[in-house]
Amino acid sequence: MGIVSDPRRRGVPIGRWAVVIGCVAFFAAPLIALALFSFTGKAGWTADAYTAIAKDPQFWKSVGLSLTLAAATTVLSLLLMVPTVLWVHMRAPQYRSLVEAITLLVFAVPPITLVIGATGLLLGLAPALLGTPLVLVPFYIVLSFAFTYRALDTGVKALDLATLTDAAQSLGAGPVMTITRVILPNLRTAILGAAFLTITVVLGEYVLSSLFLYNTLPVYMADVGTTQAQGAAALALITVLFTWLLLIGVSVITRRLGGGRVATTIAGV
Amino acid sequence: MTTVRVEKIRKTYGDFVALEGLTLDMAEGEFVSFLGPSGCGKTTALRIVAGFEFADSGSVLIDGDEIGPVPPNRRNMGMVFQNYSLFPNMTAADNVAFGLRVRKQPAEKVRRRATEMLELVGLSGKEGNFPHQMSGGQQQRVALARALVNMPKALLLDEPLGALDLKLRQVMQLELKRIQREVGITFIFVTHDQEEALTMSDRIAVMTQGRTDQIGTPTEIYHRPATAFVAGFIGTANLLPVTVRGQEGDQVTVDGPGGRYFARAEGRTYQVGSSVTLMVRPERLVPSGAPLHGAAGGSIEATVTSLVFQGPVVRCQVQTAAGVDLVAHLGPEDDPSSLSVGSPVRMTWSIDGAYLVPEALDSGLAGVTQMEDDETGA
Repeated sequence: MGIVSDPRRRGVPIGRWAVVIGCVAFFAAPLIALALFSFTGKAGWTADAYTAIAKDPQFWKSVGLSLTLAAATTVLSLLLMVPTVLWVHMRAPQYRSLVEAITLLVFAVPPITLVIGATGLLLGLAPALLGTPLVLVPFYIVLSFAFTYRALDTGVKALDLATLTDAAQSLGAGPVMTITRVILPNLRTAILGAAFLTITVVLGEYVLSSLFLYNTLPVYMADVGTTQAQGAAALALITVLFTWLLLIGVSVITRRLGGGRVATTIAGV
Repeated sequence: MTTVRVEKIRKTYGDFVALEGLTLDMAEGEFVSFLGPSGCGKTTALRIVAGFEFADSGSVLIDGDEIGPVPPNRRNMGMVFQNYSLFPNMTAADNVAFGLRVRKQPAEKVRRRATEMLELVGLSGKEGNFPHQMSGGQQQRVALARALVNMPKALLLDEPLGALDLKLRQVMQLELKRIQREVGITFIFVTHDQEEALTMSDRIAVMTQGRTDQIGTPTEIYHRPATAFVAGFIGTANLLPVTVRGQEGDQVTVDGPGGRYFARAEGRTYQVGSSVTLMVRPERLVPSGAPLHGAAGGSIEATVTSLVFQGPVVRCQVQTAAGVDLVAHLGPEDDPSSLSVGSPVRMTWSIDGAYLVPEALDSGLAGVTQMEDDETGA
């Protein structure tokens, strides 16, 4: 598709609109169907599925658990990945491809292998951790490696880190001040993007939590699905809407902070 | 008094020798340029003075004190980069104020100094603009104000005008010179643009392959180049390989491709039979018959190959019988209208219009050498 318009294509570009409408339908139709189904009862439209969920204490427990896990994972993975990405870019560029490969490694290992292997390791290292749902956090950190790394990596690449550091140092700033006053403020967008991706990974993760027998939101959702179909649909819709709200929230915060667009950071993944 | 001295600096990257024994003194308030083609080591030299790189051997002295082990944030050297490198998250005023805030100056002083510095660089009223809201020239002015705010011992400029277009570059050259006079700080300016270096510098260090070929004032470098490389790199030069035939007091007789020439010894003693280089600047080369300003220094038979009107001068290119291309810049008094492409001409110069470079010339370098790109400012 060039900038110069093709004279044969004057008028309404029906073909293009067909593609657009087709794509929108492809993505929207399941969501609309999901919403319609979740409001269906034996006697016409009803919000029974939603009220039932709201009344179920198990639901609120699973939401609480998932949010706690998301928060813990986000904080820890940022604490781990921000210094790693900065270190790789500033001090050890030769390790860049190695770190990138490590972040992808988790996708090469089947979850069951990961769980059995890591459980064995944890039994020796920190058996106490195995008794709490927090045991999932290290797994989630590893799972979100690829996303966090790429979001941060894209953000750092967009900055001229070397020259900014030189500039700050020549003005008298030491390494700590350079990082806190110059580098991190300019990585806000990337950090928010990484946090958002981590949260979505955690909120959507099913396999590991069910293998560990913890009742996170996705596990609860699957349980509900086996007994009440409308309930599962309602839950799925809630999750989707929650994720959208989160994305919009992150975008608004980013714009307010005057940073770039979160979309660029996430698109870099 | 702040003086900067680099002494016998050597720096290698693996097998590549970036600097080989660089020694240079810079006086207080002096504008010194490191000039050379890319890869000559000029930026490495600057980064060693700034403290971003460390020399393998040699020293950097400020007021006589070795600062080799001092980290860059404790050297108080201002630095201006080619890509401006403003902090994107800060306004112009905050960028300028950064150096003061790092030093924990009182807020009132920070505000006042930042305003003053922006005024110095001609950006009053732009305090609240973010870097992305400013043009390249404005950003570089902010960078300059930011680097000067702490009154550094020296300001290091790494091709600061390289990213600007020609017009803006010329404006900024004069601005830089004015600001330097006002603040009285030593400026060390890295550039590959000889015109820029000639325009602004008190002294120029012409560098190639990690060495300085010559350190001198723009006039010295232009009129008395120490090597054939300097002659060719600074401005346009016609170079001829010649052999010394004799020396009588201040006058040296040499034999070249087109006959016998004369030049000044300039205090040097030449060995008979030694190979040296004769340089004639294009503005000193004229067709015979044109006024010569002094005793004849030599002449050479050639054919006119091109005549280009360039406004103040006509650029006349000729080719000698030996196939060497020479260029003359002819003014109105040289009567360029009498010449035409293809016609034979005898090019001549005065004894003071020629200069002997005490170095043999590679045969491939005979004729006109010039950096066309830099001349046109491309």
